[in-house]
Amino acid sequence: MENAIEVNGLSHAYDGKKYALKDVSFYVERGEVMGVLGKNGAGKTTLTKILTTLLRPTSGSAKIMGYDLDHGYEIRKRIGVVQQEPSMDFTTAEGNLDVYGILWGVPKRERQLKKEALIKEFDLDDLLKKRFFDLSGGERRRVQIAREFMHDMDVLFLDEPTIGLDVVMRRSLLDFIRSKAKEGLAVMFTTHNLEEADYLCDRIILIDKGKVLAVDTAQNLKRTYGGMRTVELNVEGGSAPLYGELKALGLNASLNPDGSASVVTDEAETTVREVMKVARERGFQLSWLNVRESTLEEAFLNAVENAGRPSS
Amino acid sequence: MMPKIARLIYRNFAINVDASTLTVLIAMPALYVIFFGLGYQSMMSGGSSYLSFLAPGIMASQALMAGLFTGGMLWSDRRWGMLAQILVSPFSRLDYLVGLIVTSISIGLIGSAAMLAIALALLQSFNFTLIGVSLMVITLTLGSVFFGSLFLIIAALVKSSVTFNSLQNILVFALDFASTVFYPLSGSIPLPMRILMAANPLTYVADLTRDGFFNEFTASTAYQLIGLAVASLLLLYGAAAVYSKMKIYTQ
Repeated sequence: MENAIEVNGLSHAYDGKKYALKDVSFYVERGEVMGVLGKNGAGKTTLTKILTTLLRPTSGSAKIMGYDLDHGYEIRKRIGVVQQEPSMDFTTAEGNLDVYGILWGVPKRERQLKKEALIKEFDLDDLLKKRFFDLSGGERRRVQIAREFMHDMDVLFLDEPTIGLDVVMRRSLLDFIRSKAKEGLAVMFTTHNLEEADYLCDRIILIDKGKVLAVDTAQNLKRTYGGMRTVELNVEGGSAPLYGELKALGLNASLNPDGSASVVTDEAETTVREVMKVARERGFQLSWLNVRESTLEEAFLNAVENAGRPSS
Repeated sequence: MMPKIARLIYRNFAINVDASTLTVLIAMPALYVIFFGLGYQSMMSGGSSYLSFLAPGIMASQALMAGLFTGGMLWSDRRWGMLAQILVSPFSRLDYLVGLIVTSISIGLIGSAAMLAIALALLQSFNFTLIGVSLMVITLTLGSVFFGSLFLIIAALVKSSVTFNSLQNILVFALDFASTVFYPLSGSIPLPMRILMAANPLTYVADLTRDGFFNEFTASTAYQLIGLAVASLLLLYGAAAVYSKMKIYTQ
Protein backbone atom coordinates (compact mmCIF):
# COMPACT_ATOMS: atom_id res chain seq x y z
CA MET A 1 0.00 0.00 0.00
CA GLU A 2 1.16 3.52 -0.80
CA ASN A 3 2.57 5.63 2.02
CA ALA A 4 0.42 8.44 3.40
CA ILE A 5 3.23 10.97 3.02
CA GLU A 6 6.28 10.71 0.77
CA VAL A 7 8.80 13.51 0.66
CA ASN A 8 11.75 13.50 -1.72
CA GLY A 9 14.54 16.08 -1.75
CA LEU A 10 12.26 18.87 -0.63
CA SER A 11 13.86 22.32 -0.31
CA HIS A 12 12.45 25.74 0.33
CA ALA A 13 14.24 29.07 0.23
CA TYR A 14 12.57 32.24 1.42
CA ASP A 15 13.29 35.15 -0.96
CA GLY A 16 15.14 32.68 -3.15
CA LYS A 17 18.26 32.51 -0.99
CA LYS A 18 17.61 31.84 2.71
CA TYR A 19 17.03 28.10 2.92
CA ALA A 20 14.47 27.01 5.49
CA LEU A 21 14.53 23.41 4.23
CA LYS A 22 17.32 21.61 2.42
CA ASP A 23 16.90 18.31 0.61
CA VAL A 24 14.43 16.80 3.05
CA SER A 25 13.30 13.21 2.43
CA PHE A 26 11.16 10.86 4.51
CA TYR A 27 7.90 8.95 4.43
CA VAL A 28 5.01 8.36 6.80
CA GLU A 29 3.00 5.16 6.62
CA ARG A 30 -0.75 4.98 7.08
CA GLY A 31 -1.57 4.60 10.74
CA GLU A 32 1.86 5.89 11.75
CA VAL A 33 2.52 8.83 14.06
CA MET A 34 5.62 10.67 12.89
CA GLY A 35 7.11 13.21 15.28
CA VAL A 36 8.96 16.23 13.96
CA LEU A 37 11.51 17.60 16.40
CA GLY A 38 13.73 20.60 15.96
CA LYS A 39 14.84 23.84 17.52
CA ASN A 40 13.00 27.09 16.85
CA GLY A 41 13.54 28.05 13.22
CA ALA A 42 14.69 24.52 12.30
CA GLY A 43 12.19 24.38 9.43
CA LYS A 44 9.40 22.35 11.04
CA THR A 45 6.60 24.81 10.35
CA THR A 46 7.86 25.48 6.82
CA LEU A 47 7.71 21.73 6.21
CA THR A 48 4.13 21.59 7.51
CA LYS A 49 3.12 24.58 5.39
CA ILE A 50 4.51 22.95 2.25
CA LEU A 51 2.85 19.60 2.91
CA THR A 52 -0.48 21.29 3.63
CA THR A 53 -0.17 23.25 0.34
CA LEU A 54 0.10 26.69 1.95
CA LEU A 55 3.60 27.14 0.56
CA ARG A 56 5.28 25.98 -2.66
CA PRO A 57 8.64 24.22 -2.35
CA THR A 58 11.62 25.67 -4.20
CA SER A 59 12.60 22.19 -5.34
CA GLY A 60 11.92 18.54 -4.65
CA SER A 61 8.62 16.73 -4.50
CA ALA A 62 6.11 15.35 -2.05
CA LYS A 63 3.03 13.18 -2.24
CA ILE A 64 0.15 13.11 0.19
CA MET A 65 -2.08 10.04 -0.15
CA GLY A 66 -0.65 9.57 -3.63
CA TYR A 67 -1.28 13.14 -4.82
CA ASP A 68 1.68 15.37 -5.57
CA LEU A 69 1.70 18.96 -4.40
CA ASP A 70 0.32 20.23 -7.73
CA HIS A 71 -2.99 18.62 -6.77
CA GLY A 72 -3.61 20.90 -3.83
CA TYR A 73 -7.37 20.50 -3.78
CA GLU A 74 -7.18 16.68 -3.72
CA ILE A 75 -4.65 16.87 -0.91
CA ARG A 76 -6.66 19.37 1.15
CA LYS A 77 -9.75 17.13 0.91
CA ARG A 78 -7.79 14.38 2.65
CA ILE A 79 -5.95 16.22 5.40
CA GLY A 80 -6.67 17.87 8.70
CA VAL A 81 -4.49 20.62 10.09
CA VAL A 82 -4.16 22.05 13.58
CA GLN A 83 -1.89 25.00 13.11
CA GLN A 84 0.53 26.42 15.60
CA GLU A 85 -1.24 29.77 15.51
CA PRO A 86 -4.64 29.93 17.19
CA SER A 87 -7.46 30.09 14.67
CA MET A 88 -11.10 30.52 15.57
CA ASP A 89 -14.20 32.21 14.29
CA PHE A 90 -15.80 34.99 16.33
CA THR A 91 -18.65 32.91 17.57
CA THR A 92 -19.29 30.43 20.36
CA ALA A 93 -17.28 27.25 20.79
CA GLU A 94 -20.30 25.31 19.57
CA GLY A 95 -20.70 27.69 16.64
CA ASN A 96 -17.11 27.00 15.69
CA LEU A 97 -17.75 23.26 15.59
CA ASP A 98 -20.98 23.68 13.61
CA VAL A 99 -19.67 26.15 11.05
CA TYR A 100 -16.49 24.16 10.52
CA GLY A 101 -18.54 21.02 9.90
CA ILE A 102 -20.65 22.91 7.37
CA LEU A 103 -17.51 24.30 5.71
CA TRP A 104 -16.32 20.73 5.23
CA GLY A 105 -19.71 19.70 3.86
CA VAL A 106 -20.38 17.20 6.66
CA PRO A 107 -24.07 16.11 6.51
CA LYS A 108 -26.26 17.42 9.35
CA ARG A 109 -26.86 14.12 11.14
CA GLU A 110 -23.18 13.14 10.97
CA ARG A 111 -22.22 16.62 12.13
CA GLN A 112 -24.41 16.29 15.19
CA LEU A 113 -22.98 12.87 16.08
CA LYS A 114 -19.41 14.03 15.63
CA LYS A 115 -20.05 17.15 17.67
CA GLU A 116 -21.52 15.17 20.56
CA ALA A 117 -18.58 12.77 20.55
CA LEU A 118 -16.04 15.59 20.49
CA ILE A 119 -17.77 17.52 23.25
CA LYS A 120 -17.39 14.43 25.40
CA GLU A 121 -13.85 13.60 24.29
CA PHE A 122 -12.50 17.14 24.76
CA ASP A 123 -14.66 17.98 27.79
CA LEU A 124 -16.24 20.97 26.06
CA ASP A 125 -19.63 20.94 27.79
CA ASP A 126 -19.00 24.07 29.84
CA LEU A 127 -17.45 25.94 26.94
CA LEU A 128 -20.10 25.44 24.29
CA LYS A 129 -21.89 28.77 24.77
CA LYS A 130 -18.76 30.77 25.48
CA ARG A 131 -17.66 33.11 22.73
CA PHE A 132 -14.14 33.29 21.30
CA PHE A 133 -13.00 36.21 23.45
CA ASP A 134 -14.34 34.63 26.64
CA LEU A 135 -12.25 31.48 26.26
CA SER A 136 -8.81 31.12 27.84
CA GLY A 137 -5.82 30.20 25.68
CA GLY A 138 -6.01 26.53 26.66
CA GLU A 139 -9.78 26.43 26.08
CA ARG A 140 -9.37 27.95 22.62
CA ARG A 141 -6.76 25.33 21.86
CA ARG A 142 -9.12 22.54 22.93
CA VAL A 143 -11.88 23.87 20.69
CA GLN A 144 -9.43 24.33 17.81
CA ILE A 145 -8.21 20.74 18.06
CA ALA A 146 -11.68 19.26 18.58
CA ARG A 147 -12.98 21.24 15.59
CA GLU A 148 -10.50 19.54 13.29
CA PHE A 149 -12.11 16.19 14.01
CA MET A 150 -15.49 17.41 12.73
CA HIS A 151 -14.44 15.98 9.37
CA ASP A 152 -12.87 12.72 8.26
CA MET A 153 -9.30 12.70 7.05
CA ASP A 154 -6.47 10.39 6.06
CA VAL A 155 -3.57 12.52 7.26
CA LEU A 156 -3.47 14.88 10.23
CA PHE A 157 -0.88 17.61 10.68
CA LEU A 158 -0.52 18.79 14.26
CA ASP A 159 1.80 21.74 14.77
CA GLU A 160 2.55 21.99 18.48
CA PRO A 161 -1.04 21.19 19.42
CA THR A 162 -0.53 20.81 23.16
CA ILE A 163 0.65 24.35 23.85
CA GLY A 164 -1.60 25.78 26.56
CA LEU A 165 -3.21 22.46 27.48
CA ASP A 166 -3.11 21.20 31.05
CA VAL A 167 -1.41 17.88 31.84
CA VAL A 168 -4.62 15.85 31.94
CA MET A 169 -5.95 17.25 28.67
CA ARG A 170 -2.52 16.84 27.06
CA ARG A 171 -2.34 13.17 27.95
CA SER A 172 -5.93 12.64 26.91
CA LEU A 173 -5.21 14.30 23.54
CA LEU A 174 -2.15 12.14 22.94
CA ASP A 175 -4.17 9.00 23.71
CA PHE A 176 -6.96 10.19 21.41
CA ILE A 177 -4.47 10.71 18.58
CA ARG A 178 -3.00 7.29 19.23
CA SER A 179 -6.46 5.72 18.98
CA LYS A 180 -7.08 7.55 15.69
CA ALA A 181 -3.74 6.31 14.36
CA LYS A 182 -4.79 2.75 15.22
CA GLU A 183 -7.80 3.31 12.98
CA GLY A 184 -5.42 4.16 10.12
CA LEU A 185 -4.87 7.90 10.44
CA ALA A 186 -1.37 9.04 9.53
CA VAL A 187 -0.18 11.84 11.81
CA MET A 188 2.63 14.34 11.54
CA PHE A 189 3.15 15.66 15.04
CA THR A 190 5.40 18.69 15.37
CA THR A 191 6.44 19.44 18.90
CA HIS A 192 9.06 20.88 21.21
CA ASN A 193 7.97 18.57 23.95
CA LEU A 194 10.28 15.56 23.73
CA GLU A 195 8.44 13.65 26.41
CA GLU A 196 5.28 13.83 24.30
CA ALA A 197 7.16 12.75 21.20
CA ASP A 198 8.62 9.80 23.09
CA TYR A 199 5.18 8.83 24.38
CA LEU A 200 3.23 9.16 21.16
CA CYS A 201 5.38 8.83 18.07
CA ASP A 202 6.19 5.64 16.18
CA ARG A 203 9.12 7.37 14.51
CA ILE A 204 10.71 10.78 14.82
CA ILE A 205 12.37 13.14 12.37
CA LEU A 206 15.16 15.19 13.90
CA ILE A 207 15.52 18.38 11.90
CA ASP A 208 17.99 21.21 12.29
CA LYS A 209 18.80 24.20 10.09
CA GLY A 210 16.43 22.86 7.45
CA LYS A 211 18.18 19.49 7.20
CA VAL A 212 16.99 16.10 8.39
CA LEU A 213 19.51 14.78 10.90
CA ALA A 214 17.83 11.45 11.48
CA VAL A 215 14.57 9.56 11.04
CA ASP A 216 14.09 6.65 13.41
CA THR A 217 12.16 5.30 16.37
CA ALA A 218 12.64 7.11 19.68
CA GLN A 219 14.36 3.99 21.02
CA ASN A 220 16.87 3.87 18.19
CA LEU A 221 17.49 7.60 18.32
CA LYS A 222 18.32 7.29 22.00
CA ARG A 223 20.66 4.41 21.23
CA THR A 224 22.34 6.16 18.34
CA TYR A 225 22.59 9.67 19.72
CA GLY A 226 22.07 9.24 23.43
CA GLY A 227 25.70 8.33 24.10
CA MET A 228 26.22 6.83 27.54
CA ARG A 229 23.75 4.53 29.27
CA THR A 230 23.54 3.75 32.95
CA VAL A 231 23.60 0.23 34.44
CA GLU A 232 21.82 0.42 37.78
CA LEU A 233 22.11 -2.39 40.33
CA ASN A 234 21.28 -3.35 43.87
CA VAL A 235 22.86 -6.09 45.99
CA GLU A 236 21.11 -7.86 48.85
CA GLY A 237 22.76 -6.71 52.06
CA GLY A 238 24.25 -3.59 50.43
CA SER A 239 25.89 -2.65 47.14
CA ALA A 240 29.04 -1.06 48.55
CA PRO A 241 31.31 -4.17 48.31
CA LEU A 242 30.33 -4.84 44.66
CA TYR A 243 30.76 -1.15 43.90
CA GLY A 244 34.33 -1.40 45.23
CA GLU A 245 35.04 -4.43 43.02
CA LEU A 246 33.67 -2.68 39.93
CA LYS A 247 35.61 0.47 40.67
CA ALA A 248 38.76 -1.62 41.02
CA LEU A 249 38.12 -3.04 37.55
CA GLY A 250 38.24 0.51 36.20
CA LEU A 251 34.53 0.87 35.53
CA ASN A 252 32.88 4.30 35.90
CA ALA A 253 30.91 3.17 38.95
CA SER A 254 29.30 5.21 41.70
CA LEU A 255 27.47 4.48 44.93
CA ASN A 256 24.09 6.15 45.20
CA PRO A 257 22.62 7.64 48.44
CA ASP A 258 19.81 5.03 48.40
CA GLY A 259 22.40 2.26 48.67
CA SER A 260 22.26 1.16 45.05
CA ALA A 261 25.19 1.42 42.66
CA SER A 262 25.40 2.53 39.05
CA VAL A 263 27.85 2.27 36.20
CA VAL A 264 27.87 4.77 33.35
CA THR A 265 28.93 3.13 30.10
CA ASP A 266 28.77 3.33 26.34
CA GLU A 267 28.78 -0.48 26.10
CA ALA A 268 25.82 -1.44 28.25
CA GLU A 269 25.68 -5.10 27.18
CA THR A 270 29.37 -5.71 27.94
CA THR A 271 29.09 -3.89 31.25
CA VAL A 272 26.08 -5.95 32.30
CA ARG A 273 27.98 -9.14 31.50
CA GLU A 274 30.96 -7.92 33.51
CA VAL A 275 28.81 -6.91 36.50
CA MET A 276 27.07 -10.30 36.52
CA LYS A 277 30.37 -12.14 36.22
CA VAL A 278 31.91 -10.23 39.14
CA ALA A 279 28.79 -10.73 41.26
CA ARG A 280 28.76 -14.48 40.55
CA GLU A 281 32.49 -14.92 41.22
CA ARG A 282 32.40 -12.92 44.46
CA GLY A 283 29.10 -14.37 45.64
CA PHE A 284 27.03 -11.19 45.61
CA GLN A 285 23.28 -11.71 45.26
CA LEU A 286 21.92 -9.10 42.80
CA SER A 287 18.38 -8.11 43.78
CA TRP A 288 17.91 -5.69 40.92
CA LEU A 289 19.65 -4.80 37.65
CA ASN A 290 18.49 -2.25 35.12
CA VAL A 291 19.89 -0.48 32.08
CA ARG A 292 18.60 3.08 31.90
CA GLU A 293 18.45 4.46 28.39
CA SER A 294 19.38 8.03 27.59
CA THR A 295 16.44 10.34 27.36
CA LEU A 296 15.20 11.57 24.02
CA GLU A 297 16.24 15.02 25.13
CA GLU A 298 19.86 13.89 25.52
CA ALA A 299 19.71 12.19 22.15
CA PHE A 300 18.21 15.27 20.53
CA LEU A 301 20.81 17.60 22.01
CA ASN A 302 23.66 15.31 20.94
CA ALA A 303 22.27 14.90 17.44
CA VAL A 304 21.94 18.67 16.98
CA GLU A 305 25.34 19.35 18.51
CA ASN A 306 27.05 16.74 16.32
CA ALA A 307 25.03 17.68 13.22
CA GLY A 308 23.49 14.22 13.02
CA ARG A 309 26.66 12.19 13.58
CA PRO A 310 26.04 9.30 15.98
CA SER A 311 27.54 9.58 19.45
CA SER A 312 30.70 7.54 19.93
CA MET B 1 -23.97 18.83 -0.01
CA MET B 2 -23.91 22.60 -0.53
CA PRO B 3 -21.53 23.79 -3.27
CA LYS B 4 -18.24 24.98 -1.79
CA ILE B 5 -18.74 28.67 -2.61
CA ALA B 6 -22.18 28.52 -0.95
CA ARG B 7 -20.55 27.00 2.15
CA LEU B 8 -18.06 29.86 2.30
CA ILE B 9 -20.83 32.43 1.89
CA TYR B 10 -22.86 30.69 4.59
CA ARG B 11 -19.87 30.92 6.92
CA ASN B 12 -19.32 34.60 6.09
CA PHE B 13 -22.88 35.36 7.13
CA ALA B 14 -23.06 32.95 10.07
CA ILE B 15 -19.88 34.26 11.64
CA ASN B 16 -20.11 37.94 10.85
CA VAL B 17 -23.76 38.92 11.02
CA ASP B 18 -24.80 39.78 14.55
CA ALA B 19 -26.72 42.60 16.24
CA SER B 20 -23.89 45.12 16.01
CA THR B 21 -23.28 44.34 12.36
CA LEU B 22 -26.95 44.73 11.56
CA THR B 23 -26.92 48.04 13.38
CA VAL B 24 -24.13 49.31 11.19
CA LEU B 25 -25.54 47.84 8.01
CA ILE B 26 -29.23 48.51 8.38
CA ALA B 27 -30.16 50.64 11.38
CA MET B 28 -27.65 53.45 10.81
CA PRO B 29 -28.48 54.03 7.13
CA ALA B 30 -32.16 53.68 7.98
CA LEU B 31 -31.77 56.49 10.50
CA TYR B 32 -30.07 58.58 7.80
CA VAL B 33 -33.06 58.03 5.52
CA ILE B 34 -35.56 58.83 8.25
CA PHE B 35 -33.90 61.77 10.03
CA PHE B 36 -32.00 63.38 7.15
CA GLY B 37 -34.80 62.63 4.70
CA LEU B 38 -37.56 64.10 6.83
CA GLY B 39 -35.43 66.72 8.57
CA TYR B 40 -33.88 68.36 5.53
CA GLN B 41 -37.17 68.08 3.70
CA SER B 42 -38.52 70.76 6.03
CA MET B 43 -35.83 73.20 4.82
CA MET B 44 -36.79 72.80 1.17
CA SER B 45 -39.47 74.74 -0.64
CA GLY B 46 -41.29 73.74 -3.78
CA GLY B 47 -42.37 70.34 -4.96
CA SER B 48 -39.06 68.48 -4.96
CA SER B 49 -38.68 65.83 -2.26
CA TYR B 50 -35.33 65.53 -0.47
CA LEU B 51 -36.39 62.15 0.87
CA SER B 52 -36.85 60.78 -2.62
CA PHE B 53 -33.44 62.25 -3.58
CA LEU B 54 -31.72 60.83 -0.51
CA ALA B 55 -33.25 57.34 -0.55
CA PRO B 56 -31.46 56.07 -3.70
CA GLY B 57 -28.30 57.79 -2.45
CA ILE B 58 -28.42 55.83 0.80
CA MET B 59 -29.19 52.68 -1.21
CA ALA B 60 -26.01 53.38 -3.19
CA SER B 61 -23.98 53.90 -0.02
CA GLN B 62 -24.97 50.36 0.99
CA ALA B 63 -22.56 49.18 -1.71
CA LEU B 64 -19.83 51.07 0.15
CA MET B 65 -20.90 49.52 3.45
CA ALA B 66 -20.87 46.07 1.83
CA GLY B 67 -17.31 46.67 0.66
CA LEU B 68 -16.31 47.81 4.12
CA PHE B 69 -17.84 44.71 5.63
CA THR B 70 -16.08 42.45 3.13
CA GLY B 71 -12.67 44.00 3.74
CA GLY B 72 -13.27 43.55 7.46
CA MET B 73 -13.96 39.85 6.94
CA LEU B 74 -10.67 39.29 5.13
CA TRP B 75 -8.78 41.32 7.70
CA SER B 76 -10.34 39.42 10.57
CA ASP B 77 -9.68 36.04 8.93
CA ARG B 78 -6.05 37.00 8.40
CA ARG B 79 -5.66 38.39 11.88
CA TRP B 80 -7.23 35.45 13.69
CA GLY B 81 -5.80 32.60 11.63
CA MET B 82 -8.98 31.51 9.87
CA LEU B 83 -7.71 32.39 6.41
CA ALA B 84 -4.84 29.94 6.79
CA GLN B 85 -7.25 27.37 8.23
CA ILE B 86 -9.66 27.72 5.31
CA LEU B 87 -6.81 27.52 2.81
CA VAL B 88 -5.75 24.13 4.19
CA SER B 89 -9.37 22.97 3.85
CA PRO B 90 -10.90 21.93 0.52
CA PHE B 91 -11.00 25.48 -0.84
CA SER B 92 -8.66 27.37 -3.12
CA ARG B 93 -7.61 30.97 -2.73
CA LEU B 94 -9.93 31.78 -5.62
CA ASP B 95 -12.87 30.06 -3.89
CA TYR B 96 -12.30 32.19 -0.83
CA LEU B 97 -12.08 35.39 -2.91
CA VAL B 98 -15.23 34.55 -4.87
CA GLY B 99 -16.98 33.79 -1.56
CA LEU B 100 -16.07 37.23 -0.24
CA ILE B 101 -17.12 39.07 -3.41
CA VAL B 102 -20.47 37.26 -3.60
CA THR B 103 -20.98 38.00 0.11
CA SER B 104 -20.25 41.66 -0.63
CA ILE B 105 -22.81 41.72 -3.45
CA SER B 106 -25.40 39.95 -1.27
CA ILE B 107 -24.91 42.40 1.59
CA GLY B 108 -25.07 45.35 -0.80
CA LEU B 109 -28.32 44.16 -2.36
CA ILE B 110 -29.95 43.13 0.93
CA GLY B 111 -28.99 46.44 2.57
CA SER B 112 -30.24 48.44 -0.43
CA ALA B 113 -33.50 46.51 -0.47
CA ALA B 114 -33.99 47.33 3.22
CA MET B 115 -33.36 51.04 2.53
CA LEU B 116 -35.75 50.92 -0.39
CA ALA B 117 -38.43 49.39 1.79
CA ILE B 118 -38.00 52.12 4.42
CA ALA B 119 -38.05 54.86 1.76
CA LEU B 120 -41.17 53.44 0.17
CA ALA B 121 -42.90 53.29 3.53
CA LEU B 122 -42.10 56.99 4.04
CA LEU B 123 -42.76 58.14 0.47
CA GLN B 124 -45.89 56.02 0.04
CA SER B 125 -45.66 56.33 -3.72
CA PHE B 126 -43.53 54.64 -6.28
CA ASN B 127 -43.35 54.07 -9.98
CA PHE B 128 -40.89 51.31 -10.67
CA THR B 129 -40.26 49.69 -14.01
CA LEU B 130 -38.42 46.50 -14.83
CA ILE B 131 -35.66 48.50 -16.52
CA GLY B 132 -35.38 50.83 -13.55
CA VAL B 133 -35.15 48.01 -11.01
CA SER B 134 -32.69 46.12 -13.24
CA LEU B 135 -30.52 49.22 -13.50
CA MET B 136 -30.53 49.58 -9.71
CA VAL B 137 -29.64 45.91 -9.19
CA ILE B 138 -26.83 45.98 -11.77
CA THR B 139 -25.48 49.26 -10.40
CA LEU B 140 -25.53 48.10 -6.80
CA THR B 141 -23.92 44.80 -7.79
CA LEU B 142 -21.13 46.61 -9.61
CA GLY B 143 -20.79 49.06 -6.72
CA SER B 144 -20.47 46.21 -4.24
CA VAL B 145 -17.82 44.59 -6.42
CA PHE B 146 -15.93 47.88 -6.70
CA PHE B 147 -15.94 48.71 -2.99
CA GLY B 148 -15.52 45.07 -2.00
CA SER B 149 -12.37 44.96 -4.15
CA LEU B 150 -11.12 48.27 -2.77
CA PHE B 151 -11.37 47.15 0.84
CA LEU B 152 -10.01 43.69 0.02
CA ILE B 153 -6.88 45.36 -1.35
CA ILE B 154 -6.54 47.38 1.86
CA ALA B 155 -7.17 44.31 4.03
CA ALA B 156 -4.57 42.36 2.05
CA LEU B 157 -1.90 45.03 2.35
CA VAL B 158 -2.14 46.46 5.85
CA LYS B 159 -0.25 44.94 8.74
CA SER B 160 -2.06 46.25 11.82
CA SER B 161 -5.60 46.59 13.09
CA VAL B 162 -5.07 50.27 13.90
CA THR B 163 -4.07 51.05 10.31
CA PHE B 164 -6.92 49.02 8.92
CA ASN B 165 -9.56 50.67 11.13
CA SER B 166 -8.19 54.18 10.54
CA LEU B 167 -8.14 53.74 6.77
CA GLN B 168 -11.68 52.35 6.84
CA ASN B 169 -13.02 55.31 8.81
CA ILE B 170 -11.32 57.94 6.68
CA LEU B 171 -12.33 56.32 3.41
CA VAL B 172 -15.96 55.77 4.39
CA PHE B 173 -16.32 59.36 5.53
CA ALA B 174 -14.59 60.80 2.45
CA LEU B 175 -16.35 58.55 -0.06
CA ASP B 176 -19.78 59.03 1.50
CA PHE B 177 -19.67 62.82 1.84
CA ALA B 178 -17.65 63.68 -1.28
CA SER B 179 -20.28 62.04 -3.45
CA THR B 180 -23.83 62.67 -4.61
CA VAL B 181 -25.31 60.45 -1.88
CA PHE B 182 -26.50 63.40 0.24
CA TYR B 183 -26.52 66.32 -2.23
CA PRO B 184 -26.29 66.81 -5.99
CA LEU B 185 -23.15 67.84 -7.84
CA SER B 186 -23.94 71.48 -8.57
CA GLY B 187 -22.01 74.51 -9.74
CA SER B 188 -22.34 76.18 -6.35
CA ILE B 189 -20.02 73.58 -4.77
CA PRO B 190 -16.34 74.71 -4.68
CA LEU B 191 -14.32 73.40 -7.64
CA PRO B 192 -11.89 71.16 -5.70
CA MET B 193 -14.80 69.41 -4.04
CA ARG B 194 -16.60 69.07 -7.37
CA ILE B 195 -13.49 67.38 -8.78
CA LEU B 196 -13.41 65.05 -5.81
CA MET B 197 -17.07 64.23 -6.22
CA ALA B 198 -16.65 63.61 -9.94
CA ALA B 199 -13.70 61.31 -9.27
CA ASN B 200 -15.57 59.37 -6.59
CA PRO B 201 -17.05 56.10 -7.88
CA LEU B 202 -19.82 56.33 -5.25
CA THR B 203 -21.12 59.40 -7.15
CA TYR B 204 -21.77 57.19 -10.18
CA VAL B 205 -23.30 54.42 -8.10
CA ALA B 206 -25.62 57.00 -6.49
CA ASP B 207 -26.49 58.71 -9.80
CA LEU B 208 -27.20 55.43 -11.57
CA THR B 209 -29.31 54.16 -8.66
CA ARG B 210 -31.24 57.45 -8.83
CA ASP B 211 -31.73 57.01 -12.59
CA GLY B 212 -33.22 53.58 -11.91
CA PHE B 213 -35.29 54.87 -8.99
CA PHE B 214 -36.81 57.69 -11.05
CA ASN B 215 -36.81 55.85 -14.40
CA GLU B 216 -34.71 58.56 -16.00
CA PHE B 217 -32.49 57.02 -18.64
CA THR B 218 -30.20 59.13 -20.82
CA ALA B 219 -27.03 58.53 -22.82
CA SER B 220 -25.15 59.54 -19.68
CA THR B 221 -26.76 56.60 -17.85
CA ALA B 222 -25.26 54.17 -20.34
CA TYR B 223 -21.81 55.81 -20.25
CA GLN B 224 -21.76 55.88 -16.49
CA LEU B 225 -22.83 52.25 -16.28
CA ILE B 226 -20.13 51.16 -18.71
CA GLY B 227 -17.57 53.23 -16.83
CA LEU B 228 -18.61 51.72 -13.51
CA ALA B 229 -18.50 48.20 -14.94
CA VAL B 230 -14.99 48.73 -16.35
CA ALA B 231 -13.74 50.32 -13.12
CA SER B 232 -15.25 47.51 -11.01
CA LEU B 233 -13.73 44.76 -13.13
CA LEU B 234 -10.33 46.47 -13.18
CA LEU B 235 -10.35 46.89 -9.43
CA LEU B 236 -11.51 43.29 -8.96
CA TYR B 237 -8.58 42.18 -11.11
CA GLY B 238 -6.28 44.34 -8.98
CA ALA B 239 -7.74 42.89 -5.78
CA ALA B 240 -7.24 39.35 -7.10
CA ALA B 241 -3.61 40.16 -7.97
CA VAL B 242 -2.84 41.72 -4.57
CA TYR B 243 -4.71 38.95 -2.76
CA SER B 244 -2.86 36.19 -4.62
CA LYS B 245 0.47 37.57 -3.36
CA MET B 246 -0.80 38.43 0.09
CA LYS B 247 0.92 37.02 3.17
CA ILE B 248 -1.53 34.70 4.85
CA TYR B 249 -0.44 35.47 8.39
CA THR B 250 -0.35 38.87 10.04
CA GLN B 251 1.21 37.59 13.27
